[in-house]
Parts: sequence; structure tokens; C-alpha cells
Amino acid sequence: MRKILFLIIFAFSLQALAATDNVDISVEVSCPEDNCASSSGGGGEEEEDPPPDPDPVLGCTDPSASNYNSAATQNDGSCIYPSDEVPNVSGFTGDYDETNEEINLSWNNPNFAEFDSIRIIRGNGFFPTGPTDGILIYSGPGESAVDNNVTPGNTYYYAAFVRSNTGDYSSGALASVVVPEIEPPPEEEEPPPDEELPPDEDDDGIPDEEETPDPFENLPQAPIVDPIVEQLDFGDFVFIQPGEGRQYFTSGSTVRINGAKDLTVLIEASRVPSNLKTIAITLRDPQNWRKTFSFLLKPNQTNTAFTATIAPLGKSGNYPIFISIVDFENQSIKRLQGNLLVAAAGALGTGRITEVAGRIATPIFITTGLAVGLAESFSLLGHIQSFSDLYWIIIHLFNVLARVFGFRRKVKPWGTVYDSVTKRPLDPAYVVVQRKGEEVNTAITDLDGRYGFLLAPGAYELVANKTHYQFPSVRLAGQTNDELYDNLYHGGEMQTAEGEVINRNIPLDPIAFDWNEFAKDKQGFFVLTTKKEKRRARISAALYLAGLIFATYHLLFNPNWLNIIAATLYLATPLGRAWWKRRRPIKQVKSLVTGLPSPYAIVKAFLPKVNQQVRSVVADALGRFFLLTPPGEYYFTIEEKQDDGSYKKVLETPPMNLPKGVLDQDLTY
Amino acid sequence: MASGYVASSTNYRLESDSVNFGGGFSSSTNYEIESTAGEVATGESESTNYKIKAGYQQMLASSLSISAPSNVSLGSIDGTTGGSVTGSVAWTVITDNSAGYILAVRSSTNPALTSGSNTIADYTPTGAAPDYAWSVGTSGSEFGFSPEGTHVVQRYLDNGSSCNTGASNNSDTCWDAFSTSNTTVASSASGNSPTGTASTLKLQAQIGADVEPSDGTYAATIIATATAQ
Repeated sequence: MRKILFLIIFAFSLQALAATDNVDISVEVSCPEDNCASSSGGGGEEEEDPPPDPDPVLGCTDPSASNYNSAATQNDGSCIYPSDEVPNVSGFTGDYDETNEEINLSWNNPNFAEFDSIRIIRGNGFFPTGPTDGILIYSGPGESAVDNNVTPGNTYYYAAFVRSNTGDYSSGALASVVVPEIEPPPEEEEPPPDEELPPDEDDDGIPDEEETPDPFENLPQAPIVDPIVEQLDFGDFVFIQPGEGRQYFTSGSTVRINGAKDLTVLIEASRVPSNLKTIAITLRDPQNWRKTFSFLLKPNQTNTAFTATIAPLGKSGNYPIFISIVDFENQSIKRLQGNLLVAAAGALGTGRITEVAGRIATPIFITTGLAVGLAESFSLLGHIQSFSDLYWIIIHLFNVLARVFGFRRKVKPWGTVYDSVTKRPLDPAYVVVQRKGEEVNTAITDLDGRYGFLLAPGAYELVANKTHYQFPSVRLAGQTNDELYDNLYHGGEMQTAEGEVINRNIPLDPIAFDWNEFAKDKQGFFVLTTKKEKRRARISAALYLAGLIFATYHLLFNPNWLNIIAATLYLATPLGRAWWKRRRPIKQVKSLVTGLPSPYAIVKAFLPKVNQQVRSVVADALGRFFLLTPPGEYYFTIEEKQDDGSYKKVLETPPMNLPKGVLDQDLTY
Repeated sequence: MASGYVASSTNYRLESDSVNFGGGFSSSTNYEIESTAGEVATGESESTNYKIKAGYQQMLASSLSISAPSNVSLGSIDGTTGGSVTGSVAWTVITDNSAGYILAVRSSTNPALTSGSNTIADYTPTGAAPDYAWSVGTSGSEFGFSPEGTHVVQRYLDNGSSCNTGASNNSDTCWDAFSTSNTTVASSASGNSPTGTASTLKLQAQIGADVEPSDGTYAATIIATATAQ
């Protein structure tokens, strides 16, 4: 064992800077029964003899099978496909009925062609591991059951097994119910009227915050953990869906699935010790984290993997997922947490029947939508009066096509960093892409606050930095869109697919600017500013006039080249100013009531014939804005910023013809 | 010098210091000097494994160090039934070199695992890229490694089913063989001082059930070399 350090000075030529370490690795090979070879040969290469052909490793070699064996070299016909698995029920829950002192269990049966019945088992102290591991509570084809043999103060553990008409069972869906202690009736005193009771959504007498939706969350930790389990991570679990590729947890903790299809979860048996009791998976509802759904993984028919199949999740969203591995003493020996990104659910419904219906309906809807969109667009051809009309109709057609094919209308191939108060793009802002805390890429936003990254598929986090601004935005926390921007980003891990550009819009909160204070003072601010500008304009005009008089005097009485040039410049100045003003007109949003400009108002330009927004801009603190559009006819709207930071539409102009694509008047309301 | 630095705190490391009794900072219009007087034990010395540049002004422009993990015993395999054993070893490389470093490994012998004249063959990936999953037949006996860490090179990254493609570094995947030539397993294009970055080699040895190995202790010496880029 050595550790050395070479320190070398970099002069004009770079010398090698290196450090080395040696580690000895050893393996004991023992032959307790003296059955090994007695002499040389070992297990390795013997130079005299060519290495023998490796014997085929029998197993399932089809990657789409749930018991795919990556080490197998020859398919032995043992492949089991997700469709062969008996799917579990979904939505298996239990509630204690205080009035009847019983536990009501309910579930949704899977849409399964070989469905026979449901078997509800109550475990003895913990969850049942199989359809015979406990007390039978219910057996039949229904979707509810009652357990009236319960005692206050106890926790009851149930598993629902789906039985197929071939006698096979699903892995089991889980539910647990706490029966509360019977409390003595309250004495005379009523609780004070202003004392609020803690929230209790399911009215079971247990405050939500005291409930344990994930039954595995609070299991005691086992003091000794098998090294094999210690090394387990999400990468060991595989997610399989019919017609989809095998999905693994990528970048540690996230996997994408199709919410409209059955889902089979699998882990190879070789990845876990043989003496373990339970592998359970709990999913949280993405919209209500108090709702959970748990199910077991069970050994497959060939004992090569632990697997479970559940019905389509249906609802899109980011489902937090917890994988719990429990030993025979009901102690937690490993708990993994990640995310299941469920997409495209709901559009086609759930289950195989609706899946088939979806396959048929989809092209019909697409074709119909396309025809309607084309008809709608071509009907506008009769209104074409200029090339700009034709241009916008083509743009509209593309929008219709994008809508038909499921692309979002507002998605742009870039993201924008902007001020959450004023909505103005921020430049320069420094955007950093991180992966597992390490910087992967950076970008500086352009004049329009835009940035974009094209990255390898994976999970990334963004951080946006700008002096006097705060990320993530607190003002817009939890919002997915605001008046101008959608697809907002507030931090956290996000997934990118192959060829996908990161284009989330990032709001930043100004921390050196108080909008409310500014709103309160804006009256005086504008009066002062206006006076100041007027005074400056008067001084400039006086100086200009004096110069023009002197130049004209000298031109008349001493007409040399120098005086001609001076006079020409004086005459050219107002002409040039007028030209510049026409070319780049900065206009203002004003209130006719107060006579004051409207700071940070949103000005939007629309095509009148199709009501399509083509441009939007945010005015500055003095209500000034600059809006350039393609030549054509537009109407404009003004949304005035209110004192609480929200916006209110205060004006919609009649259509205006902008032959040069510039607005040549202030907008007043 | 027994270690790569002489003093450290949470955020800083002092790469070298000086034993002396005089000197100081002086400057003129055009020059500045930090002088040292009476310094002891100066000059260069080196042995097979160590090199020292003692004395003021020998301070380096860049530094690089590698940790010294313990030897690894993979355990025991019953030669009559065959089986596999696993283990791991991790090296942490620390460098303030702005161009980063490369970490390479090699074995001192070919094949790596030997016991006298008996050997266990190096792992044989099925193609040019490492094998995504470890696979040794019942008549084979092999020894290989799988690198893990944030700086693992592309050859050992995967897409969930193949190696040398994709961007994932799934655990216990992309198995490769040791060679007596250096095989790069990790690299970085930037410095990482003072925290450093660990790269782990998962190790596995397997003796097939149909093999009749010679018993004994099979040993391999793995040499890890970190080089500044």
C-alpha cells in the first residue's frame, strides 16, 4: 500500500503530473471435499488447450418479457410477458366506520379478460404475503367488503388478490386501517367556538396529519442490513408496459411511463437476498399526497424475478414512488424514493378496451380535426387582401396542425428569464444546468431574456442568477403560468428526452425593488419626471434655436463653406429626429382619467380576422413601449398593472392598419 | 513528504510550507521578492516511489493526489460448486489543475488474478464495448470490474441496456477486463480541490460450476494512476 504525491512545477512545457496507488485484490478458492483439480489449470486460460466454448445459459432472452434474463444466452421458452401477469386491483382503500364499528374496504377491479374473483385477506399483525396468508375477509367478484370483527386501538392490514380463471393470483394490493380508541364522552365543557379542529378529510376521527398513508413509512429500521440489499438502488427495478421499451430509473430516481397502459414492475431475484419477506411499492397521488396506493411484488413462475402488474394509472402527473423492502420481523431494511412520471393518460381512457378504442378513435379525431382546421383556415382565403394576410393565414394553419397533432400552442424553442413583477425579460441573467449538483452547462440570456439548452436525456436542475433578483420566485410559487408565460420553472428536477430543448420560463423576484411602494408613489414620481423632462426639453429647444439663429445670420452675411455646413446640420437635425421617430417610434400607454402613464402595462397585438395574438410587450416604468409587427391590420389590448401586482384589461382598440408594422400613436384609455 | 499536503481546513489546503529563520517580502518599482533565509534541508531527493522538492521556491503550480484505499478481499469461492464473489475499491482524486485529471487502472500481471502458476482469466466482454450485464458461462472463470462515479468516462456509461452509449451510470453494469496497459475509467476537465471526486471499481470474480479450479489464494495487484490533463 503506497500513497505518493508528485509535485511538478509547470514551466514553459507541461511535465507529467501524476499520482499512483496500488491495491491488492484477493480471492480464496477452496476445495473442501478435495474435488477440485489437484494440479495446475485453475479456472482460467490454459495455454495448451483452446478455451472451451462456453455452455449456453438457459433463460428468457426476450427483453420485452418480464422475466428477461440478461445473462441468458439461449432462450428456454420460459419468457413471461406483462400481459400474462394477473393485474392487481386499483384504488384499494379501507375506512373505519365509527357508527357501525366496522371497516369498509373498496377497490376497482382490473379490466382483465381472465378475471375470476377478488380475495381479500387480513394479515396477522402485518400485510399478508399471499392469498392464503391470513384471515379471509371476502371472496367474490365485487368491489367492496366489510370487516366487522375489529377492536378499537388496533391496526388492520389487508391485501386484495385478483384471481384469474386459471387459478393464478395477482401480487396483491395493500391497505391498512387504524381503528381509533374509544374515547370517553366529552364532559360538559364544549370546545371554545374559535378553536379549529385539525383537518380530517375522510372523517375517520384521525387528523390527516396523524395518519400514515404509506403503511411502510414508519416501520422500524432493521439493525442489520444484508449487503446485497444495502447496494440496491432504483436502477435495479425495471418498468415494463405492453408495446413500450423497458424503462429503468434514470439518473437515480425518475422513470417515465404511459399512464394508459398496464404497468409491470420487476426486479431480478438475483438482486435481492433469498430470505426477504416483502417488496412493496407505494405510489402517492400527484394531486393529493394524502392518497396512496400500495402493492406487493411476488416471485414469478420461474422464481427469477419479483414482479407485480397494476392497472393503468390513468391520471397524468408526477407520482412520488416509494419502494420498501421488509424482512421477516417486519423491519424496514431498505427504502427507496423516486418519481414516476406518468404521461398521456386519460386521453385514451384506461384499460385494454379503451386502449383499443383509442387506437381506432385517434386517427378519426386527427383526421377530423385536420379537416376542420384546414376548412377553417381555407375559409379565410376569401378575406386575403394583402401578402401579410396570406402570411398570417399560413401561420394560423401551422398552429392548427400543431394543435391537431398534440403539440402545445405556446411552446417556443427557448425559455425566458423574466421579472415576476414587471414581466419584462431579464438580460443578462446567468442560467446554470446542473446534474446531481454538478454544473453541466451555462448560458447568458439574450436581450429578450431568452436561453436554451440541448442536453442528453436525463434529469437536470436549473438555477437562474441575476443581481438583485431571487430564484426561485416566491411571488409565483406553485403557479404553472401567469399572464404572459406558461411552463414556469421554480426549481427541482426535470426530465429531458432525446432531442428535447430545455425551454422552461423562469420568473425571478426582484429583491431590490418594492412594487407596492412604487405603486404608492407613482403619482408623484410621474409628476416629477414629467416636469424634469419638460424643463430639459425647453433648455434643449432654446439652445437649438439660438444656434440656428447664429448659423443663419452667419450664412446670410458670410456665406463660406463652413457656415453652409453648419446651417445644413442645423436644418438636418429636426429632419433626422423626425425620421428616427417615425422609424423607431417609442409610444406610451396613458390613462385619460389621470393623465398619467401606465407603468408596466402589457400591450398585446392581435390579428382581427382570427383573433390570434401576434406580439406582446411590457411597458417600462414610464409607460413607454416599442412594438414592431409585420405590416398588416391589428387591434391592441392594454392590461393595466394593479397595485396588488395583478393585471386588468382596460382597453381593446378597434383594428388599425399598420402598413409599415409600427404603431404611430400612443395608446390611451 | 508522506502526504500531498501539510495542513488543511474545511475550505483550504496548504500544499507546502517552509522551515526557516529569516527572510521576508521586499519590493522596488519593477520587482517584488519573497525571500527566505536559513532554510534547512533543501534540494531534490527521490526514491522509487517518492519524489521531494524541498525548499522555498520549490512550491508547485499545480497539485494532484490520489487516496490510498485498503486492500480488498473478495471472499471465498467453493471450487467444487463454483460461484461468484464481489467487492469494490474506491479512489479519490484531488487536483487543483484547471484542466482536470484522468484516472486509469491496470493490473500488474496478465491475467490479473493469479495464484502461482494458476490463474483466473480476465473478463471477456462479448463486443468492443463492456458488457452491460456480467455474464460468465458455467465452464468459464473470470475476473473483471465495473467503474462507478460522477467522472466515469463514456465507455462505462450506458443507456439502460448497452454500454459506451447513453448517459447513465447504472450500478453494477458495464463490465470490463483489466489489462497490463492503463485503461481510463474516469476523467474530468476541471479541478476538484479540495473535496476531490471518488471513483469506485466494482470487482467481480466467478468460477463456473463445471470448472475444476486449483485451490489457493488468487491475488491481483491493481495500479491506479491519476494524471493531470
